Amino acid sequence: MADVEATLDHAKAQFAAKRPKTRALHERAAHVMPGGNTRTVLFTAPFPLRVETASGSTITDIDGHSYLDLLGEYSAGIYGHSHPRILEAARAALDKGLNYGAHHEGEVKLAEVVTKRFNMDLVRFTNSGTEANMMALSAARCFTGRSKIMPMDGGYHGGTLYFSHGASPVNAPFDCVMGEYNDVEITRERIIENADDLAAVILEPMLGGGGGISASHDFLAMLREETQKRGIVLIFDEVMTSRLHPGGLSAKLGIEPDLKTLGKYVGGGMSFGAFGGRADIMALFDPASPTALPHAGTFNNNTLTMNVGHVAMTEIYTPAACDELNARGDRLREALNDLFMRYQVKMKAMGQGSMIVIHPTASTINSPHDIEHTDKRLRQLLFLDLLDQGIYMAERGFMALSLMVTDADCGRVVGAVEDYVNRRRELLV
Amino acid sequence: MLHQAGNRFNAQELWQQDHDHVLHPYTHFDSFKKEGSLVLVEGDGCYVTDANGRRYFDGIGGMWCVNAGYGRKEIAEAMAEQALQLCYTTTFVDVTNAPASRLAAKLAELAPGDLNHVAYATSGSCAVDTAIRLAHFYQSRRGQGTRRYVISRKNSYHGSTYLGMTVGLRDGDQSEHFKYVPDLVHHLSAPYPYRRPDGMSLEAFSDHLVSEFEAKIAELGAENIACFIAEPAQASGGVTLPPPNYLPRMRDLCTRHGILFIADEIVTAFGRLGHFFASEAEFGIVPDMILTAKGLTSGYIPLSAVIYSDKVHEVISAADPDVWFTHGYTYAGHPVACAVALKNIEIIEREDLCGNAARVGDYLEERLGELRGFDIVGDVRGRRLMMCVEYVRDKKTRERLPDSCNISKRISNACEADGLLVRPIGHLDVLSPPLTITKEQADFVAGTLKRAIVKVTAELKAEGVI
Repeated sequence: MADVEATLDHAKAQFAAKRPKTRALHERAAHVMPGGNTRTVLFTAPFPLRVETASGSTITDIDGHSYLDLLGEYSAGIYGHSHPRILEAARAALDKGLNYGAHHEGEVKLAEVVTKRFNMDLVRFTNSGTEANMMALSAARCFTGRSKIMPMDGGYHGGTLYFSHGASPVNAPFDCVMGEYNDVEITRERIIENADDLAAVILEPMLGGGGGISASHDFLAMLREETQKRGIVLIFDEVMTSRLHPGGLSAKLGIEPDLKTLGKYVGGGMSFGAFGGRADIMALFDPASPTALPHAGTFNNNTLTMNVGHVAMTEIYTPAACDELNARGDRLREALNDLFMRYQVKMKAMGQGSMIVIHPTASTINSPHDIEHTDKRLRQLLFLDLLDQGIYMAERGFMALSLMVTDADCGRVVGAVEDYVNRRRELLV
Repeated sequence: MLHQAGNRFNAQELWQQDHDHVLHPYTHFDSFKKEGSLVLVEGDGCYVTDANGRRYFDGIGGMWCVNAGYGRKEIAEAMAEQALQLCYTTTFVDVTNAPASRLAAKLAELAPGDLNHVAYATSGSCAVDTAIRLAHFYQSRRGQGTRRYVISRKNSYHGSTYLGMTVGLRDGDQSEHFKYVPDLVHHLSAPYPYRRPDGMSLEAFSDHLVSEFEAKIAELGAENIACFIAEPAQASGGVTLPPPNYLPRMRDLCTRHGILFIADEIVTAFGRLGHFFASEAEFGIVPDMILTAKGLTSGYIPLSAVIYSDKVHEVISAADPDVWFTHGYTYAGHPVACAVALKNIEIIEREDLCGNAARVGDYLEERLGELRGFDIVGDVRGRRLMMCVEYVRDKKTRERLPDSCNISKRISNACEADGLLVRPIGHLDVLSPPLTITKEQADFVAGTLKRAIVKVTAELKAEGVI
C-alpha cells in the first residue's frame, strides 16, 4: 500500500530537482521578504513557482517549464495573459497619460457599465476586493448606526476579513457574530438574537476561495427575508462570483442584496475593486453632503484600470462570452466528476461555471466544515503531479478558466487528472 | 501515459500473447492484426479496468450478462466452497448434485406458468440446441414426428453453434465462408417497428407479421412445424421491442397449431427489463420453453438452462420402456455453476436488483431519449437496461450512413476514450449495463454518449459525409 507521506516527499523532491533556478531565486527572495513571499496564497511547498513570462493561457517558469494556466489568477485573469485588445487598451490608456489626480471620463464610463450590468444604483471604485468589502461593511455600520457584522464561518472577503478556522489574527477588528454557511436555522437564530446590533450580513453566494461551495437558495432567501425585516444590510461579496453570470451570481439566483462588491477581473486585469448598490446607502458617500462619509484611495480611479476595464467589460467579457466560458467550465467539471466516479476515488469537483475546485473527498460538501478535515497532502500531491504534466492550478484545488482556455485544453486537463487518479488510485480510494 | 494497475500486469505482453494466439469470437482479421484487443484485468461493480489501469464504466455488462455487477465476493466464495466440497458430478441418467437440484426448483418457482422443468446446458448456444432437440423429441413423442421445421425470424440471434447460426439470421452473421443446416429453418420478417414499411401503423405492422406467420403455417403445413423460436425483444439483432399485441397473437397461433413457442430469454431474463423473466411480466405471454443463460450466473461462470412446461414434460416422460432422452452435456448441471446461479439469484432478490433495473432503467430510457434530437440519431429504443441508439444519415428517410464510416465503432471509440464501453453492432450502439447501475451512473452513460455523438457528428460534417 502506497504511503501518502512518502509519495508526497518523492513528488516534492522531483519538483525541486527539476527547478534549480527557481530554488536559487526563492532563496534569494527569502533574504528580503519573509519566506521569500509577498502574497501568502502563492506559497507552495517545497518552494513556489517563479514565472518568467506568460502568454495566452501559458505561463513559463524561470527553469523553462511551461504550464497551461488554470489558476487564472484566482479568477482575476479571465482574459489570459496577452489578450490583444487588453494590451491595446492599456497602451491607449498609457498614451493619454498616467493618473491625473482628477476626475475623468473613463471612470464614468466604467461606472455606467458596472452599475448597469450588476444592477447597482450607485458604485464606488477601490483598489481591491478587500478594500471594497471593508468599505461596504463600514458603509453598512454607518447607515444602520449598529456595530456588529455577520460574516460566515469559513468565509473569505480579503486579507483583513478572513474567517477560516476562526477569525484571522490580522483581521480588521470588527465585532463579529458568525453565521453558519447553508445552515438556515442556526444562522436565522443568530440574526434574530443580534438583530438590534447587527449592521450587515456578508457572504459570497458561492464560496470561491472557500472551496466552490454554493449557497442554497433557501439559505439566501432566508438571509434576504430576515435582513430586510430587521433593517440589516445584506452584502453579497461578488468579487469572484460575478463572473459566473452576465449579471453576477445574484442575478442568476434572483436574489438581490442591498450592496454588492466586485473585484478581480472587472478592471481588465488591473488592480480593481468596487462596492455599490442601493442609492440611499451609497449616497452617504456624496461629498456634496455636509455629513458625507470619506472614501479615500489614490488609485481608486486610476486611468489604466478605468479605461482597460471599460474595454474588457464591453468588448471582451460580454454576456455571450460569459455564458460560453461558464458552459465550458461546467463541461470540464462534469467530465472531472465523471472521472472520479468512474475511478471510484474520493475526489469531487465543486464550484460553478468557470470556477472549479477539486477536493480530496467523496462526501457531500455543503459547508466549509465539510472540507475542514480533508487531507491537505492529497491536495499538494495533485498540485505537484499536475505541474509535472504541465498544468498549473492552485494547491488548494482551485481553478478559474480564462477565455484563452480551449475545449482541447480541457481535454488535456481531464487526461492529466485521469493519469493522476490512475497512478495514485491506491491513495485515493 | 497511463500506468499499470498495481504493476501486476504486463499490458504489452498480455496484448501480444492474445494477438499471437487467440482466435476471438467474431474476429475482424484486418483490424485485429493492427489493433489487437483491449486487455481487461479487473472489475468491480459496474467498472472494469484494463491492464494499463484505465477504468471504464461497462455499459455492456460484459455481454448482456454481468447483471449483479463485478467483484461479488460472496459469489466467488460460493464458487470456491462448492469447488472444494464437490467440484463435479455428472448429471447423466440418474445422478445429480445438491446445487443443480436446488437451482432447478428455484427456477421452477421463478418461471411463469407451468414451466417447472429444467434441462441444463452450458451456454446460450447449447440451450438453443437443447430446445430444438427437445421440441423435436416432444413432437415425435406425441406421435407427430413429421414436425421438424423451425420457425424463426430475421434479425434474430440464437447462438453460434452450427444449429444456432442456422436458426438465427442477422445480416452480419451470414458469411459465404460458412455452411448452414439446409431445409430446417424458415425465417419470418423481423418485428422491427422503426424500419416497418412507410405509412404503416404499428397495429397494421403487427397484423402484417401475424399474417405472415399464418401464411407460412399454411405453406408448410402445421403438421410439419415443430416450434417457433423468438427473443421477446430482439437483442443483438437490433434491440427491437415487438409491436403491440404481436407476441400474444404469435403465442395464440402456436397454441392453435400445436407449435411449441420457445422464448429465447438469454438476454432478457434475470432482471434486464426489471423482471426475472420478461415473457409474461413484460409481454404477456407464457411460452412452452424459456431459454436462459447470461444473467443466470451474472457471467461469473458459464451456465444455461432450458425451462419447459409440465405439458411438454408429461408428453416426453410418458411411460415407454424403450424411450431415452438421448441428449445432454458433460457439464450440464455443473455443481459449481449451479451454486453460483443460486447465490446470484439470492443477491438479485435480496438487493431487489429487478426493482433497481426498473427504476434506473426507466430513468436511463428518459435520459437516452434526449439523444433523439441529434441529426444522426434515427432512433433510441429498447427497454430499461437493454437499450440502443440507431444512427442514420437522414432522419426522414431513415437512410443509413455509409458502412465505410463505421459509425457505431467511431462513436464507441469516442465513448471509450471518455471511459465508457458501449457495444457497436452494425449501425447501432448497444447498452446493457449491470443492474446495479445508479442514477448518477445513468447520467454518466447518457452524458458521455451524447458528447461522443456531438464529437463524431462534427467530424462527419467536416468530412462531408453529412
